[in-house]
Amino acid sequence: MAKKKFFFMALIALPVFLAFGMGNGWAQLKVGDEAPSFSLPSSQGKLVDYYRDYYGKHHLVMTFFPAAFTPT
Amino acid sequence: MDAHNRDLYLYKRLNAQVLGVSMDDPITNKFFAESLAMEFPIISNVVGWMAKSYGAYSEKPPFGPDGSINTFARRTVVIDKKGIVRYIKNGSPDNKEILMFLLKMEKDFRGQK
Amino acid sequence: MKEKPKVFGTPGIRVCVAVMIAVFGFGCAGMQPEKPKTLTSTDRGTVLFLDRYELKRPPQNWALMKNLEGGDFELGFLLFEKGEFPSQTTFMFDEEPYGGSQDLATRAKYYCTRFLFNSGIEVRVTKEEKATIDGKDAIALSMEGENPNRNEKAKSKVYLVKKGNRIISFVCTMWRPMNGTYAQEPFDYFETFAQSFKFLKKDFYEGFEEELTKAGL
Repeated sequence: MAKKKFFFMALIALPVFLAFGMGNGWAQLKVGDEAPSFSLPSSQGKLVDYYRDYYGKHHLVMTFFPAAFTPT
Repeated sequence: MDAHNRDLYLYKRLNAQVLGVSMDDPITNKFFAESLAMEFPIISNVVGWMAKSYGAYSEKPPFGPDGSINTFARRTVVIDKKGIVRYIKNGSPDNKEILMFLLKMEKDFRGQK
Repeated sequence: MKEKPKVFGTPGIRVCVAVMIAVFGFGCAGMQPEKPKTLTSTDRGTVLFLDRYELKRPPQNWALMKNLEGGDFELGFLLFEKGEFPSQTTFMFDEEPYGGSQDLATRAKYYCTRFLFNSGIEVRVTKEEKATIDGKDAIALSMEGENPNRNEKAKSKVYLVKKGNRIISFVCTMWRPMNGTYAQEPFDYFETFAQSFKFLKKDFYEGFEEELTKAGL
């Protein structure tokens, strides 16, 4: 009886674990998605705002890199 | 990032601009950019939410087991001027591939006019 | 009593074995699929690297280094020299030297801060002068540096060359132990290599810029 109960609970828990394990509950960004907007401070001393600076004007190439002064 | 700098004159013709995103604060990024004579901005995403939205945590979780923020992975994303994500690549950027992609994309845009 | 089969006794088997020995003994190289030759000799005393470059290579005791999938260089030569480790010289053509500026002087300044940065050697520039390579403006840099902790030192000659809207480079580095003596001959072969180097066709960027122009961009 205990075994059956455990199995049943695992069956419910599994998809919940999977949903959180894969992408931590966030959908993974895909080609075709709308780009998440942002407004962040830059190395050039001003705020960079996606909608103000790029949307409707320029395509944007964005490279994420973990830390400054690491081999790029 | 060097390579982006070398290609700036081509990006300009392709109606594209470049941004670097790192986890460092703006002052560190400023010194880093100066040390590499980079002529495009690097934006600071200290808390890493931007990287999360853009999937730079696709290969590891945003938080370590002790709750500290993980460094995000290298990833290059191209967003067209209509705000749509058109290209995603993990790892160091393949600059020639990016250039060819931008050319095709911009040609498509002009074809639509 | 079972009679052992006389395998090698029969004439047919003997012939087969002989043929197999001949084929494997003498013909192993011939049996392998033909690899495309990277370097082809011309009758002008030069070699062609695929369909891309023509150059004067160093003698045969220098090994060819090639890296066609991208990386720090595309084509180079390496010589292991007599003496304690490290005694070797390499020289190469590097299409994308460190830096991003299109101005030779600015690029050279930045280049020197990155050159050999990951080897623990801090280089000092011993000479910097204008030069010409393949009719193009260039800067010639002579650099040297030591790393006593690893008992090694290096001497280098670099040409940064303005090619269209890009800067390319030819780089030669000679390694020695701290008490080793630098030699001149490998640098002479490098000079010949760099001065003889000819581009047989447009590179990626030249072709790409033409595509941009064609597309009205």
